[in-house]
Amino acid sequence: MKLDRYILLLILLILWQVLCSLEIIPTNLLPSPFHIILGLKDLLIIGMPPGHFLPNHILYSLYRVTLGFLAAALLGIPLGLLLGWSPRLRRITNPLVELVRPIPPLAWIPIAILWFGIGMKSAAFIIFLGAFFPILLNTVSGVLTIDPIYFEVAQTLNAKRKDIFFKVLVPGAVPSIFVGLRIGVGIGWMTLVAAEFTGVRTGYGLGYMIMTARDIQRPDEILAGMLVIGLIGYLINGGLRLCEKKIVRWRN
Amino acid sequence: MAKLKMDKTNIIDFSGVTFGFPEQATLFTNLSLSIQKGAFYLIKGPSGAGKTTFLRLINRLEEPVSGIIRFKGKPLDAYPPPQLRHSLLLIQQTPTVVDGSVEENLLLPFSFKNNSHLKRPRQEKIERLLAEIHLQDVRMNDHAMTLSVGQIQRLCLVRGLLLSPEILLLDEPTSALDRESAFAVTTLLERLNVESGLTVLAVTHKKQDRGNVTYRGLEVHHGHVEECP
Amino acid sequence: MLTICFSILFSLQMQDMVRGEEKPIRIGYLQSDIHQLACWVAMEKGFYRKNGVDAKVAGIFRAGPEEMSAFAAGALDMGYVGEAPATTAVANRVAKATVLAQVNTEGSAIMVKKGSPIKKPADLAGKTVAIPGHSTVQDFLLQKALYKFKVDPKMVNTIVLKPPEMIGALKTGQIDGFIAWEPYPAKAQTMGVGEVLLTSNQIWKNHPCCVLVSDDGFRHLHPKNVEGLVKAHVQATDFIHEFPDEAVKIGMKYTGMDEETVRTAMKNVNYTYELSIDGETEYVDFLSRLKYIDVPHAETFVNRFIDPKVLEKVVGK
Repeated sequence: MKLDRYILLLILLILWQVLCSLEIIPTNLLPSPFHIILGLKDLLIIGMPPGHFLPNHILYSLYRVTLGFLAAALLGIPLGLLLGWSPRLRRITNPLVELVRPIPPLAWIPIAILWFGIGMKSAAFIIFLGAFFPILLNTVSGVLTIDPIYFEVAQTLNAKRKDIFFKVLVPGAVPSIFVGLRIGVGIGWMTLVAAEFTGVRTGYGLGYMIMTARDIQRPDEILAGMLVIGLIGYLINGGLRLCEKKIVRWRN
Repeated sequence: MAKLKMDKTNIIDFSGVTFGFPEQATLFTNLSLSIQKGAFYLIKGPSGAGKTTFLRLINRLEEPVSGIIRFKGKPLDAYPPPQLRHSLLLIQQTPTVVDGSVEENLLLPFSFKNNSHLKRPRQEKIERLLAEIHLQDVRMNDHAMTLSVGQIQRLCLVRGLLLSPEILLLDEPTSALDRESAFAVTTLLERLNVESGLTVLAVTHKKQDRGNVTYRGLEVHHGHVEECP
Repeated sequence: MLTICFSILFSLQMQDMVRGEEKPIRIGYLQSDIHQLACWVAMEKGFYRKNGVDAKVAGIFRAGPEEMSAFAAGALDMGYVGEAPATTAVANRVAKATVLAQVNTEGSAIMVKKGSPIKKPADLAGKTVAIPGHSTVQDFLLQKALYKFKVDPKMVNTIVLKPPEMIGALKTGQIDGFIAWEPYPAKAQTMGVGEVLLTSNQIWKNHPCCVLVSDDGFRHLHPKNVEGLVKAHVQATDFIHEFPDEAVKIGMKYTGMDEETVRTAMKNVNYTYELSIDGETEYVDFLSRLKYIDVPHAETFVNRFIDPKVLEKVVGK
């Protein structure tokens, strides 16, 4: 039932802890679950670097990701709808998109720092790049997979182009748009840590926290930080799913 | 081949219309024919002969390669598009509703800017139409996609009728209906044809004989469209 | 998870087996850190070979903590690294290493933009200063400077940048100052970008900086090689004093910087192999105060961390 979802995880955790306690796994390389919990405690109480506490790291990181993600959504969704709508625009922009898309967001870091300096803007830019393409492409795909008969029915009912765009195209693309948003925010969150490696001006950020934990040689805090990052990513995804359910319900 | 009659009682005239899809065999070659106003045409023909395309040429979803199609004496392209499609109303073969309530679907066309000059139908008119085709149990805030295919098909018909078209172009309007519902639909169409003078062109096999309906037959095959008994 | 466990175990076994055979000794040093000139001299002049040691460079690191991570992973046998990151790694039980000889004292500086309004340490309040990484000697020195000159550390915004990026960041105003190992302060000067606010001498006179560390496992298995390496280091350090011009040329080769920069840099560095127990004790005290490490008994730690016996044998005291 509900319990056997967690049984595997529990068994692995216990095995891990035992192997560490018996020193079969070297704890300087892989701390035990117990040490990681203690590391989490230190992140909350002492901070990493000392004096910089975990909740603030989380807030700054969330802020950066939100900025980058919103920019990606505000640009990607309308652009995706337009590209889905117009085959001509698609043809014109396709080479550019296919050229830029494979460039990993992290490769943009040196240029981003050159353009925006070290700080919130360059980090948000990197995250924007990570989130933008999934949002764009899923929006386009959402439009393209609308059964053409919907457009035709609207036409036969005497719809203007604007009506077709807003009453058939946009609603039809919504499920795909949400898929794109979830993928986009996931990639954006993952890119965050590396983006924060490049220099965090404020001294706060989960990626920066992990780098500092590495500098100060606290692998227990590194792993605790990774755990926090994973957990928050999970919650963000869940949050978006909830949003999607609410919007779908409201429209019905 | 029927002779061309430049007559005001013709609501649709085809003059020398040729049409074929790109890279496919020509469907119609130099077709000339007239549709009489107020008649009820049943369109027959083998599958793939172009019955649906014939309808789509009339409401300008397809353009002839050559020749002219006239509506009430004027070529189709002389009409500004907003004036055309609610008068020449096509109801497709595949019943299609949008993701919304029954009411939203029925009133969908009235939310289009091109139809802003049309008056919104009154609630009783809608309910009357729905009752005539046995949809009286369907509620306005039911979700359209939960209806059966047959109900959706009839819903699409009502949606089109609410625009008060002059010509109704129907592609297999009873394909998803049982005998009883099909009978109700045909009865409604015949009533509108007789009482309102609605010209009907229907791709269908079913008909009833109700004395005062002017039934005509059109046979579409091998590039010709001919009148037949 | 199981796969991770087994891969770690397996690779550790492999490494043990590898060390058992005669393979080149793996040495690490910091990128363009003129403090570690002795390492480059030893390589260029063949001192390792002459002392019967087959040594190769197994890693060039951008900062001390990275090098200590390599020790933790068993990827290095000996290394030239800052005393602060080495202390942190060993005190936090991430790496098992021992200091065998000093490499240099002093040789860092806090730089500010040329013509900057920052004239004294107190002016750093409210400013952004770049460090090469947390728990580096430079991080340590900056914190010590703030403490010494009574500046509230919370008022200074530290940002981690790698030294090659620091000069550019200073130039474009991204940062108000940086602290780095020579030759970067010298380069900032010769480029006309920066000027010295404080030298490390003014922060902590004669402070030990880089050390020569050895991985404990390696040390126990190959005492002869260890001795040879320390001897090569001593010879190289003497060489720098005896033949400064040639040392400058080697410094230029390994840092890629011009002669003026290298000469200016080397003036700020004191090359010596003499160990300092007091210096290490100070490191342990201050790092504990910063909460980077938590050492129950400082004296015991220091005596285990520094092993002067090899050096004494080599130098013949």
